[in-house]
Amino acid sequence: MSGTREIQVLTAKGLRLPEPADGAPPPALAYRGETNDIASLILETILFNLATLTLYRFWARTRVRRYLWSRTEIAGDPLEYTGRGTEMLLGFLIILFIVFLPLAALALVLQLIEPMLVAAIYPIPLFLLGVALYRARGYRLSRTLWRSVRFGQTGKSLSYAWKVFGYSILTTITFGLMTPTKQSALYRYEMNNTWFGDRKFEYAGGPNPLYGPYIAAWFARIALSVVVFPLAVGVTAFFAWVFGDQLGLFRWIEQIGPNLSAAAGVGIAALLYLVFGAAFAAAQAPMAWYYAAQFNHFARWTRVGDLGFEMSASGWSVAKLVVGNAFIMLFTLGLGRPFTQVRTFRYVADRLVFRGVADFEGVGPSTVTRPGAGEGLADALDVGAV
Amino acid sequence: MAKDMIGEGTFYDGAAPVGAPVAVRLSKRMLVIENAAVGAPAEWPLGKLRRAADEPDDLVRLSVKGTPDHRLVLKPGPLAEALQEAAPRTRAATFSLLKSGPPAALAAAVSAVAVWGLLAGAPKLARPVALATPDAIETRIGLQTYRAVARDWPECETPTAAKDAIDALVDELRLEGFDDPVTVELVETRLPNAFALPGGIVLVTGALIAEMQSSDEFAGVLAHEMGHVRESHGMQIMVSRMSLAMATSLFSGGLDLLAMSATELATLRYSRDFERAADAYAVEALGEAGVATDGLADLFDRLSAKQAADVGAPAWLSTHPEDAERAAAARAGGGAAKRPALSEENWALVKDACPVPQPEVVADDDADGDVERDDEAAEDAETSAAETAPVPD
Repeated sequence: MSGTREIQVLTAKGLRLPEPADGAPPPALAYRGETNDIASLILETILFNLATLTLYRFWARTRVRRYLWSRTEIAGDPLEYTGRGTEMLLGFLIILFIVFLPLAALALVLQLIEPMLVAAIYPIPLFLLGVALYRARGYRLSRTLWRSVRFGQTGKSLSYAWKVFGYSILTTITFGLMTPTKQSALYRYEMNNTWFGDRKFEYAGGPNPLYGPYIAAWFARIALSVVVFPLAVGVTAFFAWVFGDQLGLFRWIEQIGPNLSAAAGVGIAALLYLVFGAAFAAAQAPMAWYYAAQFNHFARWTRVGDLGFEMSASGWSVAKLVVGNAFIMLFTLGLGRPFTQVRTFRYVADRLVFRGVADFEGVGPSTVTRPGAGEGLADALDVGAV
Repeated sequence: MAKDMIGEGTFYDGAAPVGAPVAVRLSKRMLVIENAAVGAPAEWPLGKLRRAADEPDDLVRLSVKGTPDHRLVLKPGPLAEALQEAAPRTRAATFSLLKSGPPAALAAAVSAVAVWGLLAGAPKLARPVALATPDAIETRIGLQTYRAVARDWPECETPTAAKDAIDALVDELRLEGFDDPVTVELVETRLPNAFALPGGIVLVTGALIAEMQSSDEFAGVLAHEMGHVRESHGMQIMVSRMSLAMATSLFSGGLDLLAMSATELATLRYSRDFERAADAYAVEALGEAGVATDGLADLFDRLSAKQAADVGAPAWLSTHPEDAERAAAARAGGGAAKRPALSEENWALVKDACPVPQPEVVADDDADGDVERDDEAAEDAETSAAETAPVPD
């Protein structure tokens, strides 16, 4: 970037940052939420979501964010979320009318000309996914403020989408082995376009140190799959034998009438999903250790001015976070999403610390353009998770 | 408030994340920042104040309309309390189910009205759209639907003589002003049914023909399906379902199943009107052609008797008006029969075209004996429509 800046990349421990002159500690990060608050907030938003056939989701998400942000404190002052539900509704409507309805119309026309042509449209939503993620991130940053100074995002969502698209193809054809390169490149684009006031964030790391943890996780996954999937098949076969052959469950199901048999069939299918879903999740477990390494690596090589970061994620804690969140989503049918967000916020706040010196006096106002409407594409593609 | 209150706060100017300590005075309508060095508009009208963040501490973080990046943080104290008393929007957000009950009920009522409007409006919109659809497009849709169906239901080997006889019968059953093309196909399947696809493609299944005892019954079924063709009922159902799907995609987000069942119910109710219209056409066309309507009535009776023996869906869920009512209407509407619909030989050819379906041990759920179930045809049409419209869920 700026040619005169000295190279800060020195050791594997991360960026070299100046020591605070007067021994003043760097600012602290804390999450100070109460489960009670979020529970009543969630119940209220669920009520409104049901009453409005989910159209309230934009306001619900806004209220949850406002809450989460305000409970996240840096140096004793909270983040502020200044987005509005109407902005998100507007973003959704824009996307509906300029992207999805034309796409649906195009699909209809192609279907009439030649049904096979419709397949040509399938990559478009995949590509739009990258656009959606980046634009949603930009919207959230532009609506985030700390001590009256705004965050912001520059860069082009199309460039980001091409990266997502291209690297996804590369990772797929290399059986995932390009994952660290992909993650590092995407994170670099995100961070090097992230601003706090007139200060830009920088990520100076590369993917190489991540290959060790990734390849370990890659082989561990294969080893686990070899054990876990035959085990799942064995468990299924065993129960089929016990309940089906020995106890005559299947014969009984055939006799209880068509409607009840269908219900029983659905039940059995759900159990199979559960068994094989659990097997799949178990086989993915080593990735938690990779992601922990990745979080720590990314934090270590990220700075904003003379302020750096240090993250202390561990494989177990990532696994617990992910599995816990998955269970919450599963058992609340997705309605408990804000609980998972609280867990994630708390997780990061508990493990991320600042290093170096915070030069708040030197920060100037943000000049990054703010989008007027937000996250329509992300909502339409159902990736507007936070 | 008899007298102005004085307090302390921290002011942030939106440029740097550095607060400046300020003295604050609360008057009747204004919050005044006394420290002139701040360089901000010193007077903040109470009506324009907002709570900027809900902190767990009792700090009151304020923003003011007009300069959205300015912040004033008040320390807890009498001034902060008095301010929250005077300006409700500076109070911290509270979440309470009790308080949100009435607005939620109102929202539910508004949503219910909107859904009702959609369900009632879509069919009304569908008719002009379906009737305005160019024949070429309608035919394409019909052909594609037929191709999708034909994979499972092969065409019966119908002799040319039988085809000619059916075509001739179709022409005799045309009422004045109805000259859209009608193509009849006999197809092999165990489901006793008949469909009118968009573009005038009429499918009659071998299983239904097997149930028939005379060519008058066959003519009745053909006439009924032609009634659907004349009104483009297939297209209407397709258009209304697609527009409903689009409307629900507006709302979508987890309640898709609910929306779909609502669509389903709406279509069922609305199909009954189509069945009555098709019956009316059939009675009139059979009368004009000099074919007895008793055939159609007999078929209704026989199938509904079969259905009664089966454990079927309750009548209100069916697409069809009560069978007895339909049979009676068909009988009453008939004119003097002049001749059988088809000659003995031709009827024998039609009867023999499809292989006789093997009786099944377990009653087929779908074989509920409805004469015509256009919802099936519409479902097929919708399948192809759904393939064409990757509307996000």
